Amino acid sequence: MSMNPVRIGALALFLIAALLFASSFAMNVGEPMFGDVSTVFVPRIFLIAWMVLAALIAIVAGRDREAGSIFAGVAWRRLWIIIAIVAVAAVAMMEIGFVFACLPAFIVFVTVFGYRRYGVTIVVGALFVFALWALFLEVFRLPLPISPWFGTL
Amino acid sequence: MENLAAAVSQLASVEVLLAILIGTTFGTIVGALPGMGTVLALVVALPFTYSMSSIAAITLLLCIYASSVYGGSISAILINTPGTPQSAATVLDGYPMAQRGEANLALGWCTAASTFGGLFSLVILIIAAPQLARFSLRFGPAETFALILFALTCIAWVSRGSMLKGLLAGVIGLFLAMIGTDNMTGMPRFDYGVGVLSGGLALISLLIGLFALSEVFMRAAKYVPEKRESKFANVGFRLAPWREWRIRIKALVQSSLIGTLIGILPGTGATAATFVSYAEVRRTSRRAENFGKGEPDGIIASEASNNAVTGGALVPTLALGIPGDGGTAVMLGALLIHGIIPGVQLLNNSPEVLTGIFIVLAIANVLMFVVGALGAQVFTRVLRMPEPLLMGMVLVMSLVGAYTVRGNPLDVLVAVIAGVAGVFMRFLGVPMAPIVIGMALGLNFEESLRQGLMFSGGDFLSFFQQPIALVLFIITAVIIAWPIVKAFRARKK
Repeated sequence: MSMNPVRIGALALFLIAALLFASSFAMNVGEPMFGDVSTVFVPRIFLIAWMVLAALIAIVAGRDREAGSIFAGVAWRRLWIIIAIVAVAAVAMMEIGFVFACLPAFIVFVTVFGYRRYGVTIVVGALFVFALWALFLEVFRLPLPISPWFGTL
Repeated sequence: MENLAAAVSQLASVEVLLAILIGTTFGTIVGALPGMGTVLALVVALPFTYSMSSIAAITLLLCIYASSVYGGSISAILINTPGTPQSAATVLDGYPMAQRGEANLALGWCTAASTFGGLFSLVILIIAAPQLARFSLRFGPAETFALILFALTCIAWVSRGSMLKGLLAGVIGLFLAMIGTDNMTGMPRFDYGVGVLSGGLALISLLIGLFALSEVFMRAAKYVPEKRESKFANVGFRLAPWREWRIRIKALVQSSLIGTLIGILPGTGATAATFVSYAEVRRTSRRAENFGKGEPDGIIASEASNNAVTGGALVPTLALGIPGDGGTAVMLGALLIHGIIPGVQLLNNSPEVLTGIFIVLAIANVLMFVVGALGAQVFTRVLRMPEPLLMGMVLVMSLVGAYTVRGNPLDVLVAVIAGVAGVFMRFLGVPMAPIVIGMALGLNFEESLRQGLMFSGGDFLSFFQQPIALVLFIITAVIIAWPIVKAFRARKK
């Protein structure tokens, strides 16, 4: 059985569903009443369908000639750096506020993405982030996360 | 008449008028940006609606929904890249026309056809939605269960890529809806002791992750700097003379009808409608030999049908609470956030809201024409905006959107995780829309199944004794079996 990325992906999905299915037996679900089924009855049906479909995709993937080329042209290093930037920004937003997390994240993100006009990036980023902050604070009255240093900023 | 007066009085506010104007312009612009699409436009706009009145929020989203489909055609015509998948067929004739130096005429054909398609489907929506909602009074748990099953099968059937992957996406969406406290017993499930999971996953955070963040990640992964061509003469807006329109009225009506009917089928969406309509109009057109060389019939076929889908897809959404496509799944979530429950309740309890929706859609379609006519030059400039800057903005909006759903920091992390999962799914070719539709329908699906089983004392066969449910089950079975039979026949030959 030859392995290609689609087959590996489908098997990974199968494994996730199998783990979720197995974990459903360890849950405290109580006794069903009035002809009702168990609280995990329907989720288990979905998980079984999930496993069957993932297995079928894994089988069919062997005949898929394009399955081996799904990662063609992918800049992996850039992808992982971008994901890391977004994850750090998401966590930092809660610690140092929206403006101080998102403005640097925007600048680093755009630079890593491949845009090299730093002046434009900083100006656009600052205008956009501050405009968004002001819009939510003043117009929509939905305060975004704030820093520990500058009041509502 | 009372409803009309009540609806007009609700809409006559500065907030709603601004929502119409901003929604239509924003929808058109985001639709025009290649790869952004209707769902992303709606998702990005969602956080702005939380503090709005419900009617203004729905107005904003409806205008974005209607106009973003049209927006996709602008980039299809000007830079040979459809802004949304729904406009893929517009490229075939729109771009050759622009290359001939008639970009203004192509935009004129496309804008007018889009407006006509949108208004045509609105008429059908006004007639069909209340009727269907009344008919749904006959629906018990068995019928609801069968209908959702049918809807999910339709979604998978027309999914881009393979049916198996579409079905898998739908099933994953259904399962994700199960995480959290069981509504019928109050028991937690699949929360693994994590507090935020016991309340269930926030649909909006998942949407932001799956559609917006994963798009950002994918663009970053495959970004190659390039200079986009947009050096056409006559980038503007010009309508063809009436004699040109007169000979194309049949194509216009034909495409609008196809778009509306396909739109009504749950989960089918505008992309399928566009290609069916293009093929059909080409088959019946007297100018068939000009198709693919800049023939207005081709633009009409694509644009009238994809905009007609918007009204069609709202029929099951508003009448039954079953989303017609990814866009209406987001709309459904937004309606529920604002306390509007689609279906017969909407018809009986707040008919003025339904009437208001009809009026807003009519205004949005007309305004779309005005925005298209006046904004052609502006759109050309927007299309030149560097992709990294654009994606940076989408990223920041996504983080804000995920946070403002419930003010819960963990929702932002859920969105980021969903974004990474979305990238993985996209590589595998698993479509995103069925996941969202599955999530939107998951709890209803479970509730109807369990209620049906409780009524019948645990006898599942009783589901097949209800005539409406039986018909829906048979259609579902045929839809699932058809590709298998087709493949079997092909192998035999």
